[in-house]
Amino acid sequence: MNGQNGFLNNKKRVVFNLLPALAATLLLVGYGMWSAIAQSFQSVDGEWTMASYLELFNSLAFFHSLKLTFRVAILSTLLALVIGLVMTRMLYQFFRDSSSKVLVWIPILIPHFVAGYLVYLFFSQSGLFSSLFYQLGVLDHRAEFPVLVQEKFGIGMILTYVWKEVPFVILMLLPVYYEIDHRYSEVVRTLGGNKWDVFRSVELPWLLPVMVETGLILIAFIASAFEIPYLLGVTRPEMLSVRAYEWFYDGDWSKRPLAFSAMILPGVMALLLAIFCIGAVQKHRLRMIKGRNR
Amino acid sequence: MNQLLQCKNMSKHFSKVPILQNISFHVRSGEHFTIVGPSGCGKTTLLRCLAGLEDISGGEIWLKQKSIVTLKPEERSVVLMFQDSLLFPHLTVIENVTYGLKRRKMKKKERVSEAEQMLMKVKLLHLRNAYPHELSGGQKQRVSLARALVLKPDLLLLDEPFSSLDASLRESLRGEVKELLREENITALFITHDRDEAIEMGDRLAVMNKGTFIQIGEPFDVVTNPSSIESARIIGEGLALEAGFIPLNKVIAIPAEQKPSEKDYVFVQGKVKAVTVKNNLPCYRVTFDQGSILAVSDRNLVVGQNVLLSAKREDMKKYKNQEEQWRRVQ
Amino acid sequence: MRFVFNRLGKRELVTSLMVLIFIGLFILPFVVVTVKSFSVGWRFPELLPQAYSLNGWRNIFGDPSLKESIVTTLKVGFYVVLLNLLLSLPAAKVLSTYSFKGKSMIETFLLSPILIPGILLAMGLQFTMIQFGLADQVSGVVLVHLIPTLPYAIRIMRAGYERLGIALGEQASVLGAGPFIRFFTLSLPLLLPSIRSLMLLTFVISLGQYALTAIIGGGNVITLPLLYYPYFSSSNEAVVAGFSILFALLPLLFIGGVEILLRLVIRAVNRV
Repeated sequence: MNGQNGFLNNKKRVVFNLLPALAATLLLVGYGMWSAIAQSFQSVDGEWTMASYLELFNSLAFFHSLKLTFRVAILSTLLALVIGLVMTRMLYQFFRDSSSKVLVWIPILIPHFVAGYLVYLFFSQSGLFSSLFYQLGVLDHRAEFPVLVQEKFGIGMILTYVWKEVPFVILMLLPVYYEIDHRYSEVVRTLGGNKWDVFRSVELPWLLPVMVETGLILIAFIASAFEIPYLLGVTRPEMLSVRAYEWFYDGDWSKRPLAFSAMILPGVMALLLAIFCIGAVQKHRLRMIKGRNR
Repeated sequence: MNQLLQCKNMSKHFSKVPILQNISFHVRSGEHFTIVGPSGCGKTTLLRCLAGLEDISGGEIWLKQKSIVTLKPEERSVVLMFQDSLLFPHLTVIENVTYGLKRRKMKKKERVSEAEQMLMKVKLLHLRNAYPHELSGGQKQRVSLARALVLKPDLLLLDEPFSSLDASLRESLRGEVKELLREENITALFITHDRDEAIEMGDRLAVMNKGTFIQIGEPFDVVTNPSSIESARIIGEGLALEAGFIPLNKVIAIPAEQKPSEKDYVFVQGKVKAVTVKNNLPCYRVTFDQGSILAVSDRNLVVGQNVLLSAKREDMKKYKNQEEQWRRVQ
Repeated sequence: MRFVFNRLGKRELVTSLMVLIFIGLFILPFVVVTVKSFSVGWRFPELLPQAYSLNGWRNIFGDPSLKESIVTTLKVGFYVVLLNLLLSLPAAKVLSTYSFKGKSMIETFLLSPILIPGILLAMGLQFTMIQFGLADQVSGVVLVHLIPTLPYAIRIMRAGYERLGIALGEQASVLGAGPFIRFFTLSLPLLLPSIRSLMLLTFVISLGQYALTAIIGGGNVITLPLLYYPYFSSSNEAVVAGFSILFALLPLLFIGGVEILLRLVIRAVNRV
């Protein structure tokens, strides 16, 4: 660089443009995280202690919550990914025209707790499906309809998350399907491959990074979201987020360190998982982008 | 004559890899200057530096006796026409053509009438309200040219503007553009890797290789008297040998058995790869260890036959560079 | 959509079937909820409502706290969207154009707000926000709503800039357009689909925050979700249904308004 040009040089320009977003993220995540960790190690009087963690690990209720949280997060994510992938694959031609893409956006429009209400409306014991089976004569009484919402396994929550996240997965995967050079599918077919080979060798390499990213986002989100469990969960076991929220607002602040440490564990796990996955996918993604010739 | 553009010792490197090295040349007002070179030789980078899209790492650029090195692209009276037409897809043809005029704060009536006149000259006035996706490749390129010319830039840079078109369209458009540039009295700098295009479009021509100019001159001189073996390979029409350059019309292919005397003739061993027709004469695609050429023969040759590409020793032209070197050594 | 099944191949048939399934799963529930909001006492085991009335909606709009809350919600949403645009546009442009050392680390960092539990960050920030006078304020709520939105905003704009490429911008600059003009005449109209997605998604996410708003808003900033939960356990089911529909209508209303504004701007800058 001769530096006399009126342009900012590239390095300065990169820093200058990234700075606002980085600063906001650093403030919210960096500071928020640091403060949360600090408070998890402090008692109400400000003494440094491990007490909250010790209390958690000695609590059976905490492990029940943890188990439920992971079950709901992992099952919902996997189901949403698989159903979303199948639907995208079958419908990407249909969604190519932007007026039909509106259909995918409609379920995205509503907040999660409204989706929770929909599940309640259709699947509760006095819900519409229960009514339907009663009218069909399958049931004699509403109590015969299985308890699907507000029960211990978390079926209602899983249903809600799957319903809400499938359109999200479709929206994430659609651009990938448009990006794939479908002439490669023809290449595979002429080389003697079947449909499965097409999927594995043409589509999957492109899908994989986005699937991993989407899966990470979903798992991290579901494991820590508060809105749905607050609406559809039961008191025992509770999802971790509800547990933490209640501790946080527990009258005398003495449970606050517990609230922090309870959420830090899944947070740290999600972060480690993310770093590992993104690192593994990054190389693969670079190779795909460089190998593309158009 | 009036030197419109002067470049002195221009150089450019990307993270310490040199792309352009010590380029010095000038372009006269109204002149059409072409730069020819293999892909990757730095031609496009050179144009981008002149347009202001890249900073230069050293040297000077003067346009109309003013240094433009510190000016941003939008402040230079230099327009670059890219390889692709790059019409703005959300604007109609007329909106595309008036885009630059609007930036100069020209009144609406004036800019519309200027744009319409220019569209008339490229014979596309009837498409003034069409959108780019409705145009063919050739039409897009013509709108792109109109959009550049309507600004009457001091210097128009053209980056292989015809390379995305098919061969016959390319040749017809070439003539049209040349005529239009002349008519509008536009100074143009044109880069290409196609030697025919370079020779046809340029009043003067520079041969570029590995980031430097290796020869500058009138097209006829450069083509018939390459100054070095690299130049001969890029632009020369004939046999580029280490010892010198033999124009194609002096080369003849003969069967390998009929070797003439080495005293009077130079020859290179080769092999016939294909038989073809050029200018209504049978021609032979002969490959030799440094390339391949189309040669004539006074005999009937067949594919696969070993031949000698031969010419009289007196027809071989020494490279100027070598002569100079020898002179310096002696 | 074509529902003409004769003369369709097997493949089209499967696609049409899938479209129907998609509509049945994801669109039909909205119709049911809309009908429910106009119904009277539609309860088990009735399969269809017995009577219709506007009572549910009258109840909703008769609630003064709700009107106030809609205004607050729109205000928060507007600032969240605006802040997201201002932060993500420059960042996304740089990320799509340049490659530099540490880029993937920066990308991961910018994605991190949606990987770390938002509720944890909000709880962590609460005390400091109180100290700086941001808690119990719209500004504090807006700030904390950046956590679940900014990563999506950057991601969407980045993909938009990648599709746009840099060639058109260079062409505009050699034709004499400076950075400001280039943004309004090229980037804005050509990135409009991405900008639209960004605004819709960030608004919807902001609209769906209960915990973050409750923690930082401290009961002073009452957005719609904070009213929804008490309503959910209320006995008037038509009201809950109407309230739910409201959540889908607000983003549409918002995006409609912004869209008109954007189009006017683009029309104004791109005249011949």
